[in-house]
Amino acid sequence: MRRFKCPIERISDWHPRLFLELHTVACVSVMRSYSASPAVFEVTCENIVSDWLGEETQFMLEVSWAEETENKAERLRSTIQTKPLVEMAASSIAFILTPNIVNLGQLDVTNYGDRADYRSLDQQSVLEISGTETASELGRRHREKIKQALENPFRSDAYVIVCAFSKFGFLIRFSYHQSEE
Amino acid sequence: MKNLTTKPNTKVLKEMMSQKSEILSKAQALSEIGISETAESLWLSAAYYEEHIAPMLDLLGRELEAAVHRISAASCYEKAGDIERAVNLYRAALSGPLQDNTRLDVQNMLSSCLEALNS
Repeated sequence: MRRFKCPIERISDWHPRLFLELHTVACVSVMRSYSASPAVFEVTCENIVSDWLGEETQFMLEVSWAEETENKAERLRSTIQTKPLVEMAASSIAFILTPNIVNLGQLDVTNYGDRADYRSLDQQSVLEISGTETASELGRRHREKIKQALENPFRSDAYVIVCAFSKFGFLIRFSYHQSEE
Repeated sequence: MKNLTTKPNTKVLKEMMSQKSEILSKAQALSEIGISETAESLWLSAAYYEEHIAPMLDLLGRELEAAVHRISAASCYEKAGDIERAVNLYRAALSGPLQDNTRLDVQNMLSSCLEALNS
């Protein structure tokens, strides 16, 4: 099985116009609860067209982090609630998958009520991201997010990334869905 | 993949969106960790960008996207505590083309703002 390795701190280089410092720290905060560096994710892909992936539908993602980030992570856990922390962690992982597995080009962020929405300006597609610390919830959450993503206000196609961080391991569902309209 | 655009984004528009995304992503992150005073000025700045991005999209014939940026502007003003401007922008978004589910969401967002204004 193919393996992609990277330090989590690289996401700021790949997305220089997004503020991701806290996302990076949040991700380490969640990963270190279950694993030492590097954390290894099993990624299952659906309808993903990627030069790097080729015909494969699964690969391993190995995410490492620096000691300095780990120190910040320890402090962050006490200042932020678990749900947003896990959502920010999942966003960090998503920002590894794009651009490295699928390059969506420039991402635009909009605010919609209480949530952040991400959209590719180059591919006319939205990026829906979610995270959970309950591994058994992964499938249900993924289905929910597909539905939500396809109801996006742009009527665009959707990439959905759902991450599960738990003591049973790290799992990711990464899928692409065409809008029906 | 479908191309829903009538005209492509201009370089200036993409740069504005890029600057706005930088500010907005910072506002969202700082709000999550409770640094609300710093976030407030960022919300206002992001709202200002969104408010100017929307008519540029209108000019390109991309009214649906323009409406979404008006919703984003309204949400940012709401986060910054400028409810009156949020109300105006939610109303402006509702006057444009929206998907049924988005329209319902925006009507609810508008109702919340009107309740806050009347309380």
